[in-house]
Amino acid sequence: MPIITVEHLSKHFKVYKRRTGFWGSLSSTVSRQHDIIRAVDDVNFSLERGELVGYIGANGAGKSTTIKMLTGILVPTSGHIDVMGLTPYRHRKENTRRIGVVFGQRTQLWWDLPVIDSFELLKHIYEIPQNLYKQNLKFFSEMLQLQPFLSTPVRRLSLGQRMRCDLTAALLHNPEILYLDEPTIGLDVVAKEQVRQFLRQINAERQVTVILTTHDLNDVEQVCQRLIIIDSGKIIYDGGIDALKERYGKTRMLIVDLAQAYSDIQLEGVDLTRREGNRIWLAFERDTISASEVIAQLTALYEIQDLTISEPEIEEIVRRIYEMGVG
Amino acid sequence: MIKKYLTFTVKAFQRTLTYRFELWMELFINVLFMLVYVYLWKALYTGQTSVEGYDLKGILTYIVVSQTLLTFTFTLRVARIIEEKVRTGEVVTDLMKPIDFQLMTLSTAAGTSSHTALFNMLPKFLLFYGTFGLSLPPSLLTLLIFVISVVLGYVILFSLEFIIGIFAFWLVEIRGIYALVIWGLSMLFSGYFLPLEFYPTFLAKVAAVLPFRAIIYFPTAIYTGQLMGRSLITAMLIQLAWVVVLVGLGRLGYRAAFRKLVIQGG
Repeated sequence: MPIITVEHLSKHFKVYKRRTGFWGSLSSTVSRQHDIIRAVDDVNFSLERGELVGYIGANGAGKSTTIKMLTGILVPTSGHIDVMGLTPYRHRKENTRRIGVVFGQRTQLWWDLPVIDSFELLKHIYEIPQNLYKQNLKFFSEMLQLQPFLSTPVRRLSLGQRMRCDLTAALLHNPEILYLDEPTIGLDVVAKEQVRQFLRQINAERQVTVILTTHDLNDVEQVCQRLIIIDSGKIIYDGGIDALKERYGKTRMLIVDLAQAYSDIQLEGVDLTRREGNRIWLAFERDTISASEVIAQLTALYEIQDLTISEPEIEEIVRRIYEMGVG
Repeated sequence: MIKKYLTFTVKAFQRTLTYRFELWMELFINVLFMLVYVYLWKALYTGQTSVEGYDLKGILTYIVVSQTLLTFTFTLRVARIIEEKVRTGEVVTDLMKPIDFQLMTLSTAAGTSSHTALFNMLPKFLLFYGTFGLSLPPSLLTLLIFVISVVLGYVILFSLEFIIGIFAFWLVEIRGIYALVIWGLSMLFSGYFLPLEFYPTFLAKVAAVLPFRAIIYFPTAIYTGQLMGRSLITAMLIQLAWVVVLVGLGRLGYRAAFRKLVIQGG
């Protein structure tokens, strides 16, 4: 039985148009025209307990709108959401007790108070029993090494330290689902790795279901088992990361340094995608032509100094999907 | 349940300690203003024994008590805090918690204000009390009623600010409404400026139908003994009625704001 079920979920916003000019603004105050923005448009997916899912999409694709509906602070225009048997916007308070939410861009900790005070506040807000609170606090402060700055005011923490505290804050009440909205934004490599490691661990050890939105596809590649890509409000991919690579990652790239600048380069089954001086980029489909065949053609016609083959990175695949849609 | 909100009060009280320098400066400037005000009234009373039932000691007591209570008005930043939360989207974080937004805001404000009462208002008052030989309330019971009336007045002030803050869900900028209600109407009709007995009849009539006199004038007049017996009971009933009405309006406003937020997004 899935922990989250989303069926035909849509959220449309009315955006009022303002006409320009004096008469325009005058008529706008009398009668307003509006456009309908389909922020989320007929989205379907379901998550099993303990899944770790990356929810990605370009800016404005509908990620945050979906998360807001799942957490109950946005009412869908149509469709059905079931989170742990609850309808989030109808059972908002009940739902909030059982979920944890982290926004990378803002903190839920009290800025001027020592970290530990915010944790204590949360203990009372969620009515966490004292022994559970102590146990969880111990667990998270060991795992995330919070001890050195537990009594430091939040405003004096580094971004990485603050994020570790925010993760703890979201998990103190043992939520079943953790929603993360860009948790690694602005973090350095080490701090990012710490967050990823932590997410893998709480998912494995505590069976917390995690939904993660991010622009850093390394997060997805290293943390998630499953990837959902949303674009213009519609889900365009839902599946494993390896399957994504398999499906869309067939194009390989051969980067060649030629001995001289040949004016015309013509090869069978190969696209010249870029050229910079003597360096050329050749794209070819893995199942149409093999790398050795491409190289054989090349060496027969031109003099080569150096070459490298690159496998498509997840980043590159997703960029292509954003740009061109699913082909 | 109560404990949950009390924690907000305690933490907000602690948080206030962070800005000690600011607090000292605030107190210093308050004291200067009050001094000027007290000397102004002393000068005005030269050659007068009593005006509208206030003798010099009476008017000075009124001025110092009302000026002290006014501290709540300019240190309570509820409207601005809500506006800020709406603007930054932080309000969403609050809504994602199993708490009541209005109660949370009130209990947090109460924490900050108890600190103000204890470390700003009380010392300020005692300083002026000692220096100018002011009067005490007629009886210990009156003092107790005065404290209750101050709390009721505080909740009225809070509710007004809360309602103004809620406008931020619809308006980009609430400074205009804030200035009108808090710096305009409230200053004029709360009785901090003058005892309301001094007002021309038509202004006194306007003051009587507005909630502002319940913030400062009623508790102050209870302290000075101006309101006693039946008129005291009436005053407190009026305060209670305003508490019910304004807390209720705040709740309705907040519900409407929440409906707007969940339908139109943040």
